[in-house]
Amino acid sequence: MKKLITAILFLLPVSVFAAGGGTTYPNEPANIDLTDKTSLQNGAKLYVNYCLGCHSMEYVRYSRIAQDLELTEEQTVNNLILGDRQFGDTMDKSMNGELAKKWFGVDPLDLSLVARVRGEDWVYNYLRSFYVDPSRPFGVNNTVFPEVGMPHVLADLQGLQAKSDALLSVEEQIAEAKAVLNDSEASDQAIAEAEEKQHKAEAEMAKLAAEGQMFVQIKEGQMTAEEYDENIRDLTAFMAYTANPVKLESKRMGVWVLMFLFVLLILAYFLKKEFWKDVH
Amino acid sequence: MLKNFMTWLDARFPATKVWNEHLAEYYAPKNFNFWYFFGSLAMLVLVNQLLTGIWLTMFYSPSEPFASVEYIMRDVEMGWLIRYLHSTGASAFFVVVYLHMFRGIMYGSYKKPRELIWIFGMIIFVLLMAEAFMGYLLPWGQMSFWGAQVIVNLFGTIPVVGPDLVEWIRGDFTLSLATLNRFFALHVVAVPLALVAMVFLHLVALHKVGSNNPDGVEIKDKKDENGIPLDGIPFHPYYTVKDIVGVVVFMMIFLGIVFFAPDFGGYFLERPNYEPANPLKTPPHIAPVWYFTPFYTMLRAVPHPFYGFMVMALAIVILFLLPWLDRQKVKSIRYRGASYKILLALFVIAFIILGILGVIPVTDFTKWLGRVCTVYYFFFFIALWFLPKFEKTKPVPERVTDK
Repeated sequence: MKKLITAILFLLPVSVFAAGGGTTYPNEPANIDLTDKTSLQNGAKLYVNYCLGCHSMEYVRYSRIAQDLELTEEQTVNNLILGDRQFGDTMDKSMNGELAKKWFGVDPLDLSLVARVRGEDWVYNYLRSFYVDPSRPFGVNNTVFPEVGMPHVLADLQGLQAKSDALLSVEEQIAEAKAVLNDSEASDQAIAEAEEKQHKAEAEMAKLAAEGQMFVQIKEGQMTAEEYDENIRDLTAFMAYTANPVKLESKRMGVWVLMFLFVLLILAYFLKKEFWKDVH
Repeated sequence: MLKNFMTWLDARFPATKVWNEHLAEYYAPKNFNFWYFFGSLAMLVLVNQLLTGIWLTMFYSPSEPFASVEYIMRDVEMGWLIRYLHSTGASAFFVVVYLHMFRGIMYGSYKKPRELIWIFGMIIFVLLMAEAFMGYLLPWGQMSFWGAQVIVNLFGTIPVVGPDLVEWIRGDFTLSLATLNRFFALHVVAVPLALVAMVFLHLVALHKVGSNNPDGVEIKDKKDENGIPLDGIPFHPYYTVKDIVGVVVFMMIFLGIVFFAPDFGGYFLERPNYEPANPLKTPPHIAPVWYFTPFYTMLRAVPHPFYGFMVMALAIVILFLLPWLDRQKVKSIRYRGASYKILLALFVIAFIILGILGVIPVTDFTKWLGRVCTVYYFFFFIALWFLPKFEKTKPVPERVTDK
């Protein structure tokens, strides 16, 4: 037993602490379901219609999507492939990267792996958090990705939202607290007060995020808020799939492998016992 | 027929002799416990790395590193499995090697006459670190790039020759594909070759003197009329069948990770590494892979980069000297004094804390804690030298026990 504990202790550094990644506001779980092919198909459709113009998925092949999402070649060609791309091609964007640099300042990222870099929850929350901000070049900003350089391409689905008064007041409190904290001449008492204020405001922020009170709708879109979230979930699911297309297959295979090893373990155990009978 | 063939073969090659000397008539102590699995498991992982490595090399392209890894993950039949076996294998290698080394420390397996086995083992450990470090650059993700950047630049802190040395290592003025190409060559040819050669020497040295055991008793001191150690049993079949059990248990854990959590929460494959290397964009938090973190913390614990680098190097060098630093004649922890047990337990705790500190961002507290643990790491080795003067050891039995 003692030995086992020592062994486990040695393995601790790899498992004790979770991987970092800052909290975002809002911070809803994406709750995607990779086994739901309809959801993935809808996500693929949304991606092709709204994202692929600017964001390629250069490692993802249409034919592979068809296979994994249970689509026929005809369905894929008719619904997912725009322009002169072929069934076996990868998902290149329509936009010219050089021109994009002129228009947006950057060539939009390839998104094959973004769900693996940022995490599914991040993608889900990001796509729901655009708000009106006249100071930005495209008139929108994002609470998950501040100062984002991208327009709100899904605005006709979601409509437009603005920061709620509650959120603005919380942000103001945080800004005030930070100003005191950054002031090198502030007294100890002022710093303590500012820290408390910041704590309180951040707790309030988390509460607003959890209750969905961060934004108010100022222009209706084609979808209700629930419909929009559901569609974003599908889009996130599709991006999670492209980031790691073998996830389901790997688990399926893993179950068989572990079952085989379990049987092998029983055999190996009795083989050892048989051989060691005469060792005293 | 077979007998004739063996006679023919044995006249030309010592096949039967090698088989007997190293397996069928190699007498190992009968009291090995589970800590003795990790040597053979390390061999298993080495074979896994070599085989999956060969197959990855068939599809990997150092001129398009990131894209070719994604090609392996998506377009190559079972490519994802080969790659996950290799990436998980790297971490598994360090798990089993750290446990194997700890076993050696616990039972005093490096003590006379086994000093050379320990030295060869340490060379394997250093080669393994080089192999893992260079391999980690190959996917050419953000962490590959920036991790390598940090480590390579460490050589730049060496006075006088530093900057030229770094340029010589990189083969370029910046870390570039030229660097990746040479790391690739070293990773797939040079270092594996040296590793296999050192593993061979490690085993030859081991079989010359025989294995130690949890009691630290020399089984060769007590032999029967045929010259066979009384407490020895032939490695084959006894330990081959026992090791099979260990191998299956290990594979269940290992393949469980490969199939169900190959990223292992971002510790085996770091999230930012799914983003292609970008020399213009520094990630907010650069953390090495978990197996380097104890040494990375030591580096960060020292305010001056060059001295930090020296401390880190010294932490490895001092391990080489262990057989001569530990002057206690009693080998196994079972018969050593409480003072040793406390010293070793704290060493394990300090090493784990150093490991954890290496992956989390630095604060004033962690910096302080890192320094304490670093100092203790070295204190442990110095204390070993003086310990025999104070230590109350227990009598070592004549023969191995059945614990």
